[in-house]
Amino acid sequence: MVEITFNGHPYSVEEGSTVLAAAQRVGVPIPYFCNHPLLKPAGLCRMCLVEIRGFPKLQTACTTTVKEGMEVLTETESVKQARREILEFHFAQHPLDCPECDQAGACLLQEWLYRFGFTRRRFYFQRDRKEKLVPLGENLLLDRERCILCLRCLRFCDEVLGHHLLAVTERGSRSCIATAGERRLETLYNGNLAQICPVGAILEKDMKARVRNWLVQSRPTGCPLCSRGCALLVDTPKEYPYLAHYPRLVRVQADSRGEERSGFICDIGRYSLKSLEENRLSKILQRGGEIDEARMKEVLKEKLAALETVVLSSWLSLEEIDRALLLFRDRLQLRIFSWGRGDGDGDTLLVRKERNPNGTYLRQRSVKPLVDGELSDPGNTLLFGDFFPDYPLFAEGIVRSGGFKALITPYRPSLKGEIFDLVVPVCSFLEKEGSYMDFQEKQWRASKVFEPVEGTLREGEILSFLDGEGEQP
Amino acid sequence: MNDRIFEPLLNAEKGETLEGYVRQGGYASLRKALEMSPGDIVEEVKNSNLRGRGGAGFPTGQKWTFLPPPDGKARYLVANADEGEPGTFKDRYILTRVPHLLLEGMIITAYALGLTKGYIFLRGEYTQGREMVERAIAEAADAGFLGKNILESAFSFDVALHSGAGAYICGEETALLESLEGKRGHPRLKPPFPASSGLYGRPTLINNVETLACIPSIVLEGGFWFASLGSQKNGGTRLFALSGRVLKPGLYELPLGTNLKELIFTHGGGIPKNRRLKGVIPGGLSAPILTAEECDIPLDFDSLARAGSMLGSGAVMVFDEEDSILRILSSTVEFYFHESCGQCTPCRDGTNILKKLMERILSEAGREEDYRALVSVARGIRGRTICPFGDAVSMAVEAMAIKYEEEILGFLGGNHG
Repeated sequence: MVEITFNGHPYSVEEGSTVLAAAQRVGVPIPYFCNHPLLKPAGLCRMCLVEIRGFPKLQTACTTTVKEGMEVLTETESVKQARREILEFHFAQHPLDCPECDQAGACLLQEWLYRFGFTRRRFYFQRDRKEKLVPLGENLLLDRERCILCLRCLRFCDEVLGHHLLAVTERGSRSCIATAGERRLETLYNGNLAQICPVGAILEKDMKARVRNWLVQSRPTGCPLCSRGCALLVDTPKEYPYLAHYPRLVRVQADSRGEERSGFICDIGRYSLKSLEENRLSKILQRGGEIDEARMKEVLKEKLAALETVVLSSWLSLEEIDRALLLFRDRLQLRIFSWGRGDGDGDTLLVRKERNPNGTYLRQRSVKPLVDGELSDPGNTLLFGDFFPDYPLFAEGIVRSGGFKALITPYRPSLKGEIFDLVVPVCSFLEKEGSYMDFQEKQWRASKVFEPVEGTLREGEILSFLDGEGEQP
Repeated sequence: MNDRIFEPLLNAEKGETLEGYVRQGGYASLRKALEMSPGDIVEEVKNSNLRGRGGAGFPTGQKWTFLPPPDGKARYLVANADEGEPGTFKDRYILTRVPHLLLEGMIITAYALGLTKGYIFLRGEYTQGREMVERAIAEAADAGFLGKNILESAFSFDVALHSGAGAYICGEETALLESLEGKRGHPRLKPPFPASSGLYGRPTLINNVETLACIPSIVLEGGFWFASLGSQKNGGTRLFALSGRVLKPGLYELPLGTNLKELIFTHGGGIPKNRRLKGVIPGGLSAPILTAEECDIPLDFDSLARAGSMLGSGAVMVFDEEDSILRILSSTVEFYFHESCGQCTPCRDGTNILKKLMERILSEAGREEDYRALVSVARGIRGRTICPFGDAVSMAVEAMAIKYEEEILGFLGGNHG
């Protein structure tokens, strides 16, 4: 730690950190655009200019490293004037289309102008026109008029993805962000570009005119879509009556507030939870027909003694797996298999081959994975956990088997419901708390983001019920 | 002993060839240098009071000492031949008429500082210079002045030529390095400075063509001799590129400290038709303009700095009473608008705003408040940018606007009379 002062007040700050990072840590406001905690300092926007005793000129806080005894002044007249003028420079070109801009409410330009800005407009000329709604990638749009050329997007590609996918074309105020030959960006990480853009220049196409940032709240959890478990923020509407048209899951973003996880997420994590949400099951079905909870319990109770095989989903939480194993393996001594979504392609950045959150733990508990074709005669079978609508025909043996078949899952099965004697809807990953073990055998907690959908049960409830029944002679 | 370094060489017959250059005594200095210890050469350069001829006027000997000691790995020398400062054409003469002088200066510098490889970063538009320099490099290599074991010494050194892509900003030394590395010419954040981390992250010395071309004479005749040619702390002579409203525009080699009026009226033959002097830009466009009253001034780095301007690249542009400050100002603004690299906000957006304000001032809508805004925006760029480009546009525009306020306001007033 080193001792420095901000505006005369002493603070102990981490050695080697930048003046900007130190200020943020101790709560001294310094405006910035191009700086991002996960990218190298660039010093481009010049918004974070501060006075440092001993330096003849203002210095950029983002590129200056703290030194013992450093005296930083952030509220002097020259600093304030620099802020006002640099904001004025930005706003001479930036379109004032805030009412229809998706970044409104989360925009750094708005924020800093509101807090530190100029009050009287001095320039009355026409803005330069640039291209709007340029398709940058699968789900990305680029508004070159709104772009403030902070180059966060370009630096993200260079520094994080390791590929120079974006470049600046032209020069001076004609500069534009572009790909070579205006080709589309095809990365698994496109969504991050929209998320790290400090203004409304890079947007997610399917979020356009869909959400006002001040009407949603972000709830933290982890990503279940592979065995890394990145930190996520799930944006969900605040409870205003007129938000009925907002979906419950507005969007998923990377949570860059934490220290440990990467702060970026892949597009699988960003977009998959949303489509899963659209396939929820809320009715109990017996051979395709709806039944009530009491009837379901009767059926389960009746078949429990004859159960031979249990398949546990790798999406179950650690606690649920423990309870299920205690009941099905230790007490009832049934054949137990694990099932997860099949391996995908991993990459060197974030995405793991294992596309389930708790496969590591199931392996640790020596639960054998269900391999296609291996289970020729499963007999009476219970499929327990999150089984995806897109699950493969792994269960061929199960499907063909003449035994009793029950599926307990949050999602509508894509196979005809009639195949199963019983389908029981339970709450989804986002509706319950639980622990998961990532590929490095480190545990993380998922928190409850939503209340369970009406009509669903909890896996725990079903286990308790079966547990109680199992005790009976 | 001659008191001119360049004049005889620039005017020599076939001076651009190795044969012609050697006939003028070329490469004698290199032979002498290789007999000297590197430290002694550095000492001579310090004694010479040579200051950078590219624009900033930083003491060359001091700049040399910023390099860390050799560590056996690559260390680079870059000759900045990206002569783009408007009004400047001195390096072009050296490159086309006596390219071996630059090469000899580079080889001696590399020997003195243990530099392993040299690059000449040439302004893209200098196609003739390119031919001359390429031929000179080939000749020097054939004659054993470049390559392995130069003149049978233990010292080896090579030079390669690289043509820029036509961006003024690449005259800024770190933008130049980026461009040389094949990237977009954007100035780097400093520190680190090129002396410790330059080309490909290795220690790099970047000197202007004219600066390097002074080295052979310093080594041959001694640092104190060179210093004696100029004035206090301003060693040597300087190539002045005189242009604008003079009868005899051209390149003049004069001792540092020569009076500006002497350059214009004696050497340059004065102003055509005896019109009145309006003002002079004394060191390339980035040097704040001097009014006619300020022109009685010695042309050296310190005197011009004291007058709020700079000697810069030694390009002297003369304006007379028939030149409109509005035209001078608007082409100045247009130039910086066109050349701003766009990397940092104050310069990128500031130059754009200046251009738009200038257009407004020249239009019927122009008002005094546009003029005030112009001055304020120019000031708003200063001291807030990554590289000195911002300061250059800021000071050049502000000086023109402030010093000729009356004329501009008169125009704006007349506009709406």
